[in-house]
Formats: sequence, structure tokens, C-alpha cells
Amino acid sequence: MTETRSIGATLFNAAVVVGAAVAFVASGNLPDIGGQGSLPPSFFPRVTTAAIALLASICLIRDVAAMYRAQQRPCFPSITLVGVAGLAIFAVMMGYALLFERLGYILSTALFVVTSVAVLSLLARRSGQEKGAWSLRRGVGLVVLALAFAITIFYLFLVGFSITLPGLPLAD
Amino acid sequence: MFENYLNGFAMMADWGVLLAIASGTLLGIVVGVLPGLTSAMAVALLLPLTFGMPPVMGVGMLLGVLCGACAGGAIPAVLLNIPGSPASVATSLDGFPMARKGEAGRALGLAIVSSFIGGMVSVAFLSLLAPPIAEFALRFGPAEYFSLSIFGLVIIASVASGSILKGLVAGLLGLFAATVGMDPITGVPRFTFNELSLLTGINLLPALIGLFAVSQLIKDAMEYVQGQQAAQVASNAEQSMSRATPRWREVFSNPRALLAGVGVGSIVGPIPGAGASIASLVSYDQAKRLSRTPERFGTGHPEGIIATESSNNSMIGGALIPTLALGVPGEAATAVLLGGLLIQGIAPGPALFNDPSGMIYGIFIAYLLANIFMLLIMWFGIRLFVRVLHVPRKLLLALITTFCFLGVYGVAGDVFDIWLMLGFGFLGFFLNRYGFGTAPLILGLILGPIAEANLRRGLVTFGGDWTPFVTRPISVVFLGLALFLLLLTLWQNHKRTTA
Amino acid sequence: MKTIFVLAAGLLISSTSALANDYPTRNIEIIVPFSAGGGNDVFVRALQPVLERELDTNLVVRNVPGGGGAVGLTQASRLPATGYNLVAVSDGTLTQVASGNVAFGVDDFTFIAKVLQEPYLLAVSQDSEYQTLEDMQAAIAEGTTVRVGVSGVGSSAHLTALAIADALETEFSTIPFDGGSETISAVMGGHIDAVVLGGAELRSSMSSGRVKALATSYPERSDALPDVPTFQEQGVDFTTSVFRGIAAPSGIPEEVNDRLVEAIEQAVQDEQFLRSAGNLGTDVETAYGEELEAFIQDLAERMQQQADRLN
Repeated sequence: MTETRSIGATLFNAAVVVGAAVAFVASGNLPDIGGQGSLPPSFFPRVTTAAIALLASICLIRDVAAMYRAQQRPCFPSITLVGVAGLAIFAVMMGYALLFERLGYILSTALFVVTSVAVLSLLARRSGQEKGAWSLRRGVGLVVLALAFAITIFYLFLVGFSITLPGLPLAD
Repeated sequence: MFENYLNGFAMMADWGVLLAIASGTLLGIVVGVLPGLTSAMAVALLLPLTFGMPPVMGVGMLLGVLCGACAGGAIPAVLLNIPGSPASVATSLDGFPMARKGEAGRALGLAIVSSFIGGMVSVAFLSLLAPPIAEFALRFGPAEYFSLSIFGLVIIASVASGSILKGLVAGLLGLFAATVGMDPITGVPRFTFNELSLLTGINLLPALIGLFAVSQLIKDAMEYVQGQQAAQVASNAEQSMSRATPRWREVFSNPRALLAGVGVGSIVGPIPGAGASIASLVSYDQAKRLSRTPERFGTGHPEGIIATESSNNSMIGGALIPTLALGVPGEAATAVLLGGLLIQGIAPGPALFNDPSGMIYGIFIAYLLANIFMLLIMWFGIRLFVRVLHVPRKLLLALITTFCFLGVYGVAGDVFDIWLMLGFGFLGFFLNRYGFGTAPLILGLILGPIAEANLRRGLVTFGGDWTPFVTRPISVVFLGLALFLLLLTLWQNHKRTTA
Repeated sequence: MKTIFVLAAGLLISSTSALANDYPTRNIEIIVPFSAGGGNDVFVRALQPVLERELDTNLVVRNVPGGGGAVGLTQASRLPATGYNLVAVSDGTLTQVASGNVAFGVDDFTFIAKVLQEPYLLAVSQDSEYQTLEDMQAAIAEGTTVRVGVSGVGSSAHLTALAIADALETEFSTIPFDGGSETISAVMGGHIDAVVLGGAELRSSMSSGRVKALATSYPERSDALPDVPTFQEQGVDFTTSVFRGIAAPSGIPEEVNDRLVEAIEQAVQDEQFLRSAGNLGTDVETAYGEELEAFIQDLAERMQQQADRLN
């Protein structure tokens, strides 16, 4: 019985318990002004965080007990190519958020579309899901498509919905 | 009586009026499809245009927007798992799994017919029962709102994806997240970390798009690299296309779900402030309880789609009831609409319903026509919309992400909301992965402010006395129902695990 | 590809600032620091078509909600003072400053025009036991605490309710609701005794006959609400009003300011605008330049006093 089991779920559960406990303590710092027979501002945060900590602890205990009963050996979640894909796409999204106002909507969006498609292609090749050589023509096609898409949306919002998205950098 | 309706029809006998209603409906659908654009915004955008129109024409166009936006919201919820408003959260619970099985056309076909029926029933409610329903809605004070929100929290058990205990944890996380921002009674900032954007609390839209869409996008990217799904979706896309027609017979063969949707939408919808965001979730819950096959909910069950879509369109008529009968709009879109009515010189109130000009009947008929236009436009539209699934998978992933960013940023223009969305997306990914689910969290986030503010408001108005919460009739009915459903769920759960 | 460059170049040129004396040469953006549908939003949307005609350019309305107006105002205060970025302001702007939660002050804006004003009304349900202000005062004298609903905690309506309580020499049990319509339905349903809200917000429920105003905060009765007596004529020393207007980030060129004032002066005389304003329950009451500045300073000080008491 040397079956292993990832402790990802256990770690997440534990993080929820700890987070709730921290928030519970922080709620105590809220000023205690109820007035007119009502409850203070700290009442709801305290009740909810206490309940989260309690219920998440039960989940945690059940989880660990199940692992013990099945005689599985705990191990850290292994880093797989698939996991890397999730992290990579999230990182590209964060980059998009960072550049959204700095580069303006058109450039940041086009850049994001190109980058995320490229990242997914790269990883899918590594896992053997995509085959065939990279081609310059398809690359250029993607860039043009991404720019055309971003520009269309920009003007659609400007003209159609009177919403001005961030323009090109250096404009103001 | 009958004459009045005929007069109402006569007011429509003008190409300009018909065109205005149709174009309003079309704009509404477009706005509903794009996440982040709200019907309130679209109504505001059209408002200056309506100043120069005759009243029925202007109001008809605005009603078209409301109707179209609500029905259009089903499209991204079904195809992409992006509910653009709280009203479509429940739609994505079954619509998206059905689309994933390659039946996107069927899901949209069900949604359209259900929306249409919901809308038509609400026309009837609005024109026949508006004054008494409006009086009922007024009986909701702090105690009743609090009890309603507790009743709503019981839904967590229905929308939890796996274990009820984990669903509760997610729901409580939502309730806690709802306390961020200025305290509703004393104005003390809570957990805002001096961030201005958090002063009015966590915006629902970034949380919604983060929890549902962004978490799904991360999962999709992983599945793409792993090679799951892609082939299946592609092979089913053709099949989807051919099935993309309204599905009348299937909707009518599920009368329980339809009844739950229309009934709850028409009764909960009119309650100002709370009705619009929770009615469709309550219908989903009721449909699941009435269903003979509750275990199939959440896996792409037609009943789930029928209940929520018929509910959220019957809710529009519901939201119009207090707006027209009392001059009290239930939420943002009807508030802008009310502004439009006032500018036109139409004064809402009981008098409007007896006005000799018959204006109100013109409004009823305009709303009826908006529903018909919605059906026609969507009928032809769905064939177009399911084509989205033909876009190469990795490109589609990127484009959907840009729409999420756009939707969250576009209206408010605040980058903070984008970060909020990403944060919730990250959290949502793990909540789904470890079986907590994201729907309970959204439910907590919607109901939290209603529960807290009204509990404390109630205590202020009752001078610190708790008893009115359990002695006022409506309040005690909701609390009793909540307790009953809770015990029922626990009992059923117990039976299932011991059997 | 070529078209993209042309478009991009056009975008660059169009957004560089032009000379002030031929202002405006491009679209003007107005930030509304609330979501669509609020009093501020409807005001701007009503002004938009007429002002566009006077200025011969497009006005682009941008709703920047969040933080009860704080996000949009903060954003507006940091924009270039070229005259191409305007912001819709109201009492709420000054309330924000008074709350001390925000990073901008009154000095960060040049107030261009005050356009509309409306009274604050103390209103009750049609079947309330208080049919007049006198009834309410009598109940207060017997020791009753009146439960008064306002829209938004720390909002200008909230601060005004406190000031009215002062003027009546009592303390209300003040109950903040999330928005105007929740407050109004609570008073209609008899869950609270009275509300303090702006005239425009109460307009539709008053015309439906379900809500009755006991007193207006105007110094004299208004044409729009001739039946509502003032606080003053009922022996209570209290006057104030809600204002709505247009401002810009501080430091815009004088010629631009003059051009905008001139355009707004013309726009508010437009019949369509006057009718819209009247239907919304507001009065067109303009002020510009030094008169406006004095008005703002005075209001800001009074708000500050009430806000200090609240904390």
C-alpha cells in the first residue's frame, strides 16, 4: 500500500482555515460603534469568518482522515506540463492587466492574443498535441488578425457604445 | 377592457414605432451578449434619442432593450460559461455543461423559447395584476428582506457541486467577501486597505466573470495542452449548428420547470432591490426540488435551463410592476427607464393604469411586441452565435479572455476591477478543482449585503428588538420555509449516504 | 496594414491638445462618477444633446462608478486640464471631500457651472400619522423618536437629515438604505416614518400619490411643487438645496472656461432641456464664476461640519 496522494486539496483547505482565522482576528480591530440598539460593524465579519474556520476545519479533518484510512502516502502536487500551462496562461493574463492602460487597449490586446496563442502552441507541441513546423506566414497572419480584432472592438465601443477605451500610448 | 388592448395595438400601427422597438431589442441582445455591458447602460445611451420621440415609441424602444439584454445574456452563459449578470448565473450551471456535450444549439434553443414564454407570462401579470403585486412588494421591510435572504442561502445546497459542507464554506466565503467596503449602517470602511475602489464593496461583475469565466479559461488552457475536449467540441460543432432552432416541444414537455421559473420570477422579481438578482437562482432551486430527476441538475439538464431562462425574462415584467405602479424602480435598468418615462411626462402610479389616454396599454403591447422581436432575432441569431465554436480553440481562448477584460474594464474604466477579476479567477479555479464550487460564493456575495444591512436596519427600526423577525407574517413564512428546506435537504442527504 | 497606420496616426493627432482659442476641436469627455441611471447621469444625458449643438462637437459620457463617486472624481481630478475632460459634480462631490476618505479636495476642481438645483424634501407615506410637520413636531415633543430613512450612509441626504434633526431640536433614528428607491419603498410600506431625499428622486412617488412631502428645504415654495410648504414658513430655520453642475480638473485655460460657460448659458435656455428638467422635478438655477465659487465654499464648510459630527 504505497499509493501516493497529492495534498493539493489539503493545502487549499488549510489555507482557507488560516485565512479565516486571520480575518477573524482582524475583524476585532473594527471600531465598535453599533448605536440605536443595532449590531456593530464587526458582527458579520466575525460570524462569517468563525463559521468558515469551523466548517473548513471539518473538511480538513475529514480529508486527512480519509487519506489515513486509505493508507495513502501524502506527496506534494507534482509539477506537470499541464500545470505549467495553467500557470503560464494566468501569468500572461496578469501581464495583460499590467499593460492594459499603459500600452492602451489596441496594443495590449493584440500583444495578449499573440502571446497566449504562442504560449499554448508551444506547450501543446511539448505535450505532443500539436504537430507541424512553425510558419512565418501563419505568425504574421496571427499578428494581423489580432491587430484587426483589437482595432475593430476599439472603434465599435467608441462609436457604438460611446465608451472610450485607453488609446495609444503617448497620446496625451 | 378589451377595447383598451385594441387601442394599444392601434398605437403600434406605425412603421416607426415597430422599427424603434425592434432596434431597441437588437441593441439589447448585443449588450446582453457582450459581458460587462449592462442593460442600464444601453437604456441610458438611448435615452437622449427618445426625447424627441412620441412616448409610446420611446418607451417601446427602451423596453426592447430590457427584454433583449435579458435574453441575450443566455448566449455567453451557455457557450462560454460567462454569465454577464447575476440573472444568468443559473443559466450557465446547466447551459454550459450541455454546450460542452456538443449540444450548444439545443441549449440556446431551449433558452430562447423559455425566455419568450417567461416574457409573455410577465406581460399578462403586468397588465392584469400589477397593482396588487406592487402592494405585496411594499410589505417587504427590513425583517422580510432579511428572512428572504436567509431563505435564499438555503439554495447553496442546490447549487453546490459536490459536498454540501464544502458548498457552505464557499457560500460563507461569499458572505464574508460581501462585508468588504463601507459598512452599510455606520459607514466604517472594512477590509478596504485604503483602496478607493473597494469603498463601495466588491463589485459583482468582476467577481462573477472571474469566478466563472477566468477559472474556466485556465482550466481550458490546461485541457488544451493535455488534448482533452478539443476534438470532441470540434466534431460536435456541426451537429450543434443543425440543432440550433427554438425547441418548443421540449420546453412544454417540462411543465414543472417552466412553472417554477415563471412562478418564482413573477413573484420574487417585483421585490425592489433584491428580486432581480436572486429570482432566477431561486427558480433553479425550486425546479430542482420539483423535478423527478434532481440529480441531473448541473450536468446539462434541460430543466435547469428552462427554469432559469423563463424566470429571468418573467422578472423583467416583474421589475416593471413597482416601477409603473408605484414609481419605485427595482434596479438600475428600470431606474433609467423611469427617468425616460418622467422626461416624456408620463407619471407612474395607480393613476397611470386608469389614464383615459390608454397610454399604459400602449406600453403593455409594446412590451409584448418586444418579446416577439426578441424571439425572431434570436431565432436567426443562434445559428450565428454557435459559429463561435468553429473558431480554433486556442484563439477562442485568447479572444474570450480579451472580452472578459473589456467587459470588466469597459463600463467603469477601473483597472482595479481587472485585478479583482483575476484574483477571483485564481480562487475560482481552486474552488472548482477541490469541489467547493463557485456558484455558492456568488450567491453569498449577492445575498450577504441584503442579509447584513437588513438585519441591522431592522434592529434599528425595531429599537433593538429581535422578535419582529419571527412574528411578522411574511418574515416567519420565509424563515420557516428556509428551515424546512434545510432539514429536508439534510434528511435526503442522510438517506442517500446511508442507503 | 496601411489603413492601420493611417488609423493609428489619426488617433495620435486627434488627441494632442489644440490651441485654446478654437476650442473645441475634438470630442469632449464628461465623466459621470456614478452608474447609469442616477440623478447625475440623467442630468448629463438631458444636457448632452443641447450642449453638443452649442459647442458643435460630440460629448462622450463616461460612467465611472465605484466608491460612491470617489473613483470617478479621483480619476477626473488627475486628468489634464485641457477642457476636453469634464466631470459632473453635485453635493455628493463635497460630501466625499468632507468624509475624509478620498485623496482629492475642492481645490482640485474648477467649478464651471451650476446648472440645476432641487430641494431636499422631508416626506412621509400618504397614510402616515404625521400629515404635517406640526404633527411630527408634536410627536417629537412627546418623546417619540422619528425613524428617518436616507439613501446611502454618509451621503449628502444623510448629512442633511442630521441637519434637519438639529433644526427641529431633536435626534432622528437615521436609517441608511442602499438607494433612493429602497428608501422610498420602505416609507411607502410603513417600515419607517419618513425620508429625507432630493426632490427629483421623490418626484415619481409623489405624483403617484403614495408619498407626501411635509416640507421643502428651499427658502421659498417652488413652481414645481407649489403645495409643499417650506421649513421656514413652518417656523423651522432650515434651508439648503441639492445642486448639479459641471466641473473640470483645476487650472483649465480661461478662454476654455468662458467658452463652456457661454455654451451652457445658451443650452439651459433650450426648450427641450427646460421641459426635461421640469419633468424630472428639478429647477434650472444657474451660477457661474465668482458667485459659484462662493456657493461651493459655503456648502463645503457646512458639509464638513455635519460630517465631523457623524464621525
